[in-house]
Amino acid sequence: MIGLDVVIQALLSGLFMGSVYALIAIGFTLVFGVTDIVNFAHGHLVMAAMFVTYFLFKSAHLDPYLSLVIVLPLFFGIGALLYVVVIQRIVDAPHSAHMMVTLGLLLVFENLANLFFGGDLRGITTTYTTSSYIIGPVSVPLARLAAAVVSLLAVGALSVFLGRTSLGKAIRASANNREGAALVGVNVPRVYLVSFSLGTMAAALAGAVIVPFSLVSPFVGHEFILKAFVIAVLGGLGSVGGALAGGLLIGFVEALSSLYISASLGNAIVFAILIAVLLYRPWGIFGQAKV
Amino acid sequence: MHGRLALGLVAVGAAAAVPLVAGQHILTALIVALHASYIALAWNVAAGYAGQFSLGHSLFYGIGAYASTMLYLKLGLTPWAGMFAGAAIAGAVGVLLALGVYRYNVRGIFFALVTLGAAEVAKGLADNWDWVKGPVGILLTMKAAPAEFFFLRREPYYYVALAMVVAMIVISLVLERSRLGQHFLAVREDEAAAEASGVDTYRAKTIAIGLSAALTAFAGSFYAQFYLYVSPETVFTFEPQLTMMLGTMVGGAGTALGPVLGSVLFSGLGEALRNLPFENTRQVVIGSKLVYAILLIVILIYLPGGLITLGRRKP
Repeated sequence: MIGLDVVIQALLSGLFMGSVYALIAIGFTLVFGVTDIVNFAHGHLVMAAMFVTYFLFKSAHLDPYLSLVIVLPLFFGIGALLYVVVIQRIVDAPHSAHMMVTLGLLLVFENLANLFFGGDLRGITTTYTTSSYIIGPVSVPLARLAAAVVSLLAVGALSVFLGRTSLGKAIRASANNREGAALVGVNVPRVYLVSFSLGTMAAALAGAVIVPFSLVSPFVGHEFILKAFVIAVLGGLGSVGGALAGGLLIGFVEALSSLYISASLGNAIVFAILIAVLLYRPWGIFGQAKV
Repeated sequence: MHGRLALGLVAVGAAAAVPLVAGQHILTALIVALHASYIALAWNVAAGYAGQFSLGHSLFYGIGAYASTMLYLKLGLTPWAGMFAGAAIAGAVGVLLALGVYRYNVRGIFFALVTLGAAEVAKGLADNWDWVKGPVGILLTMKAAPAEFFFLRREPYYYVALAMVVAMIVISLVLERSRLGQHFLAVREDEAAAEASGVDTYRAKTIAIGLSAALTAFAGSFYAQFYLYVSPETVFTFEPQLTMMLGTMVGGAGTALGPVLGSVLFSGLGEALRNLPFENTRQVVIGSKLVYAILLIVILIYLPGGLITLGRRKP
């Protein structure tokens, strides 16, 4: 029998990682919702941001949270560059081309990282990497708590941006109906560019805040993209609120399945859920069917 | 037509003569290229002709590898027969998967994700299944036993791989000219229109996946016999799937020769580079992968039909 304190501990870690997953998935789902492009390279953008943050810490002793000042604008720019150089040219191509081209980008990132940094796992030790609050029988790891808080704040900021600002409204309008949005004067190409850059920036933020307690290698992106897929589908592709709920759900499922079943079956369970959802509720657990 | 047949025969004859002049290193590179061509062509049946962009073909590849290996180790069945058993199992799994998925009208990007998920589930199960040695995998012993699909030299493997590719090209050409193949194309181009003109699209898509799955499994068995090692990490991961897609999309999806062209370019060159005595082999291999990835993106943007369409006039 597994004690209650262990379960609470697992739920807590599920909540923390789930919040970060949600942020990654929201970047992914925003890009899909607006541009209709499934970005296979999204997880590798997280990886790239992890490497940048890692080297800023190693070479300039810049704390990962301070380095956000550099990382966020940098990756907004990288997103814009990727959009202009590559993505823009395939927006109107079939889905198979979207998948292959973004897979190509994934391979470019992975091999670039492997070429320059090698395949080893690297990590950093900040002053707070191992600190934690002890509350009763449960210990709350500070670095993970901070990552979760920042991720949730970012999700909130993104929702406010999409809901309240005129650019945000233009983004939602373009996601809803591209021709209609263009007709009422929305600059759709610019909206696409901004959405892709924002999605990239969300991935970068998630990557930066997990560096204090995660190891990075050129291959960590796969895990993130698989999670982003599942979460985005659970929440209904294109839905920001759904992705938040889906992220937390997957965080809990992952933590509990590694506790009760087996860590190596965790992914299989997550994907079995994905298949079931795609068969029965392709619009997502939390989404609504389009009529 | 006769001219093309003659050209094909000359090409096969030339390929069959290669072991007379090539060393073991070159042969290994060629076997890898032929193997990649074969799985690309097998995936192409579903993805290229019928437009069913599966991301889970590693599932069928792994079933082939595990089926022939386990039948050999547990029942003493020769892998020559085991590979047909593996194909039958993979075909059945493919049909069942397709029946379920198409029953619920899953298509496009969602179809891709479901199949990707199916392969991930299979990997998780194999990792936790002690009977197939879990994540450790199964080692086969190297020996000279032609009746049991084991050879000490590269030449026999080369001829088997070559025969598989030639057979797969013939299957693709026959399919292109068959009624079933026409149904596949109709489904790919416009499913609603195909349905309206009397094509049973549910049946056509299911056959496409089942056929493609069974054909893919043969390659899994070949992999097991050639590398003498099967593990979830080598057969159920995205790696085989990536090989299939790269070759097919770069060469030309929905053609009988495009996937071969693309695969030989990607896998063959990569393997050749790995075996050449460069100073920094690791960097060369990674660098070549990087170049391929960039090439892939450029080709897909500027030549969506693949390299095979280079010489063709635009309609």
